[in-house]
Amino acid sequence: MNYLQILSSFKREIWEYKKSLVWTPLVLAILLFILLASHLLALNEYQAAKVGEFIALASELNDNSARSLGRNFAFVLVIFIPFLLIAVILQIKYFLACLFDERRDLSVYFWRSLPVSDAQTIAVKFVTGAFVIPLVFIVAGALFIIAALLLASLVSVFGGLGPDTSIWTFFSSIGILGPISTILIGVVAITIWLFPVITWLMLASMIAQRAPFLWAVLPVLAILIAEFIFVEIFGNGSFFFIQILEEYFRLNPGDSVNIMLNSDNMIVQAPLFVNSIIFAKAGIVPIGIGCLFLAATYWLRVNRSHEA
Amino acid sequence: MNPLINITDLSKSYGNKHVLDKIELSVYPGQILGLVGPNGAGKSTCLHALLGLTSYTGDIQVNGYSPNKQRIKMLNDVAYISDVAVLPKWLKVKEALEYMQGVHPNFNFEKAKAFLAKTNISQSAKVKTLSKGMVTQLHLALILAVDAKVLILDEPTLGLDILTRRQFYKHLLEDFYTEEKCIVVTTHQIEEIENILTDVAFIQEGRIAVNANCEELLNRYQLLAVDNEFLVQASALKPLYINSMMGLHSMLIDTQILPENFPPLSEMGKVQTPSLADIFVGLMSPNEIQNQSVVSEPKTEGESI
Repeated sequence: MNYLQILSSFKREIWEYKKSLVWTPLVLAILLFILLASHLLALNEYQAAKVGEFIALASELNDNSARSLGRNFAFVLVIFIPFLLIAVILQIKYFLACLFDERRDLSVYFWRSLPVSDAQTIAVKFVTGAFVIPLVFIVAGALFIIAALLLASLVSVFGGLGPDTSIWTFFSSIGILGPISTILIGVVAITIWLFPVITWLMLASMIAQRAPFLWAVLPVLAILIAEFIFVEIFGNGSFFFIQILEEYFRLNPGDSVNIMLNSDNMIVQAPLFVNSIIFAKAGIVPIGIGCLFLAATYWLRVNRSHEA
Repeated sequence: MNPLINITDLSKSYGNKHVLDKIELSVYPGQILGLVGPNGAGKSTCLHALLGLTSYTGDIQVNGYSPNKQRIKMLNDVAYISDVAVLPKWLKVKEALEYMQGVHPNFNFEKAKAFLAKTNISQSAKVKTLSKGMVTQLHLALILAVDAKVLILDEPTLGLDILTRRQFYKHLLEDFYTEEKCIVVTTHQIEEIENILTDVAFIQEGRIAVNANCEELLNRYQLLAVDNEFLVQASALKPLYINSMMGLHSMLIDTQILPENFPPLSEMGKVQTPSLADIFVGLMSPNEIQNQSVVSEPKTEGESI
């Protein structure tokens, strides 16, 4: 395996989708930081002192108990929500564009004149969309949390808390690595769950001569409408595709979510919740369908990239 | 000597339409082959098949590799410039160099940089800020820095001005071509490259109509500017092409079919060596048009055709 070639292929994706992969997470983190800073720096001495008191209190409460850890865990997790929501939107956009853009601007002639296999290209695009995009947003979210904590500490120092107080205890007790690792496991789990959807979007990106979004949505809509007409108007049979899709997208994690929500120790329970999604949703059939979509995408890139 | 490119029985169809029909072609080291044909003749499809960019039937070997089955190994020794501006607009020049260095085992980074240093292309520039000529120069820099044995050019200078076109071919000969390599080039502007071609293949309706060494071809055909008094006599030589303009008649004559003991052509008018473009027009024009020209000759002397 040529690692330099794989690395270069990832670099190509980053260069091509720099707005999504670099600028958007960076701008989001900076905007949130500016928003926070504009509030914190506008505090008067009394309010700053209150921030310091809050930090001191939070540090005292951090007794490494399960409840304390769970509270910090939830606090960090909530901050990641805007980053992850935007990451999902950009993932959909990326999967629909990744094999369409190169054919639209004809650069596919250039890329395919180089000794890079189509399998590697498709694999790199899949990994970029499924893992690299969420990863950069998670990194941006983590940087924002660190910067926000530093800023809050500075404000509290100026508010009279003093450097010898429990700022560093507070810092260490927040512990962002736990939530991040849970999110990362979640990203893997969701990728396995939504593997057929992701590969369907890539197939639409490969097939479309224009408007890949419509290529992704319209066939599904057409099947559902046809089934609806067949069942409702002609009164034949029952809803097959609608039920399958409903079942596929419905989250039914069983008792694990209740165990997690009712538990004091979310760090321990969260991976259980994530695993339950994997086992509940990642069946052989959806994975098989995803593999078929991926194989069709590969075949089309090999044989139809240059044909209108 | 083994051919670098060997095409046997190559065919390609879209539905009922035969785009390529039993193509047979070999290109040896040192050859610069011009693949010439009218629009829609199958030139680009033939090159795409050579590069493994499209499916086909028949057999192709490029440097011993099959483009269909061993495309990646084959592309280590093959470079390609297409007829369309194919470098992506978002790419920066330095990114293009870095990418090529990362993915191509035979890419020489320093050579590409040296070539670019001769141009006014900045490494920080994006492709979308470059003119069409500069994009072609950049692409050429990337390709010339690849130590390829086979270079395939599909209308590489399409849409470029005359100075850039000449510069392109000058660099090609100076910086790429050696006796160990071969170049296949398609172009509509055959007159511009005929002095660099060693061989030419005329393709029409998916078939190779002529595949010959340029020198042999130019020796075989002669362009005769016929004096009016010899017009009927010259027409009897079945000229491939008659061009009548302002009372002057030029005929492209195949010297291999001249009758025995026929007097020298120079007795009927001025004899010139034709250009490849003349031969191409003569060989590729539909017979009806040629015959029309001959049939419409004046019955009486002095009348223009």
